[in-house]
Amino acid sequence: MFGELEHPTYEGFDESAPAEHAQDSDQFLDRVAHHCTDLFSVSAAGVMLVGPGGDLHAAATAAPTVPELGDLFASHPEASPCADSCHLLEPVIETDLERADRRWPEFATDARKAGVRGVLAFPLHDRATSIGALGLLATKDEHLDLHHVRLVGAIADIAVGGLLQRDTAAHGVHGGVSQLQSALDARVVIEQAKGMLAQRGGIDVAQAFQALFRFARKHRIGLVEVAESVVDGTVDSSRILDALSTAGLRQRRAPTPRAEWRGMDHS
Amino acid sequence: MNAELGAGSAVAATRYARLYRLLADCADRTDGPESGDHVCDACAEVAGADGAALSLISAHRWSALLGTSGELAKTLADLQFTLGQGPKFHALRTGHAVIVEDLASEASAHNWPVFAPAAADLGIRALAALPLSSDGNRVGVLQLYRTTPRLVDPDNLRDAAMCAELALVSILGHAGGPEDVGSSLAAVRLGERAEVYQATGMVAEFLGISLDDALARVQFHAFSHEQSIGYVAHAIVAGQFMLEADSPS
Repeated sequence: MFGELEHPTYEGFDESAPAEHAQDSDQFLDRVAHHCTDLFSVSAAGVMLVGPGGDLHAAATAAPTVPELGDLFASHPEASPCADSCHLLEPVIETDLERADRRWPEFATDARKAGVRGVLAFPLHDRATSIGALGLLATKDEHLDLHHVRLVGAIADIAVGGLLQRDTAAHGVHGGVSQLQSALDARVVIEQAKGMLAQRGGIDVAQAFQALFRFARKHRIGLVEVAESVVDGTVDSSRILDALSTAGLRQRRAPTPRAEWRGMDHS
Repeated sequence: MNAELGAGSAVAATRYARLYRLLADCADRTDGPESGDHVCDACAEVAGADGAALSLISAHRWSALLGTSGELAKTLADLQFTLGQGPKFHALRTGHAVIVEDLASEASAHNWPVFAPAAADLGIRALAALPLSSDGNRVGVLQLYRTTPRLVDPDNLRDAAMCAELALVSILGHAGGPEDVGSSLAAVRLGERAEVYQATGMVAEFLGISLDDALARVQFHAFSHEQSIGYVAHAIVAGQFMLEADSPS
């Protein structure tokens, strides 16, 4: 049988797609939060980050079924499980908020009113420096346990990795993906141009690359740009092949046999 | 710290332990050329599959293998690349996961007349192709296979796709920023597909046809002579062989 499985991951992402002007990193953290609600089957997840002034704020929240639960992360940023986890650099788990009135008085009261029973928070840190926390909120019908702690920790590592990449590259994580896609297109067009030049000049592909490279350097153009003009025909290939002749590197290879398949067994 | 281990926790624990290993692996080992292979190993384990292949897809729809769990996974990816047919293309086109319970079935032969029997001959019976997205764009496909019919628990598949998506972002994010084109280029390994694109350029130049048509001709020749596309491309690039203008292959 051949069937199509609707994919909740992508539906979730489409619904949560932020406005166009939103930062790449916000989109990434939104995805992390949504993945968490999906993976752990809890009502809400939030990513809290330490701001430039040292204060904790909600960078991304996900509460697909009860959106108000997402507000709990922002309403008591400094006296909450996420704050404790962030400051202590330890996971914090409380499966019954009835027991937490003294620890987080306002948070526990508001959370219980909203139907939340359990909470799990995991620190986000770069070595010994705390940069925030990842929190999960579970209602009384949902379930949080110790097994979640390890997995939340692994997701927290990935969230931190994504954030640090943004900072070091001054470039969104998703920008990294599209960068890779562009690199793939560039690699392909260079190989195609090598093939076209090799065929045109009767040389091998290594020599064709030399021709591309020398032409690009001589005219101070990018290699990819030269390859693109070969492929779309906007530059005369013989001009590029001349770059080899002037360097004394051009050697004709044996002519291509025009006959059909010759002496190759099927594999 | 309080712990309440609830009902069904044995199953949940196993599932979480697998996911944990996968994610920890991805977080720790996102550098180096083998990282894509590690992701595939781990995704296959999470999904309860025998193997996996992870492909990157560019905006122009070119593809590169980011990793495979082994030779059979690589052969599976190459087979679809050679044929230009298979669940991977369906998943990319629709954005939906494609689940094939048995490639040897009549329904599969109807959907992919060439690919399905060829894959079944290789010993691949069940297959899932899961599209991966980033920033709203489809950027890759994770393929999972089993050598026996019937793949999968949809929950496990969903976990695997979610992890692959996070892993993809994590791996690719390490490739450097826009000023670092060199490391991005290095991170994309075309492998033997480099020769396929070189051969495509040669055929396009020789026959005076478009690159898309040239690739289709190379693919068709490989298919009709029951050769791998890499083998045909290598012969063309080495100057041992060239496609003829007037022959169909």
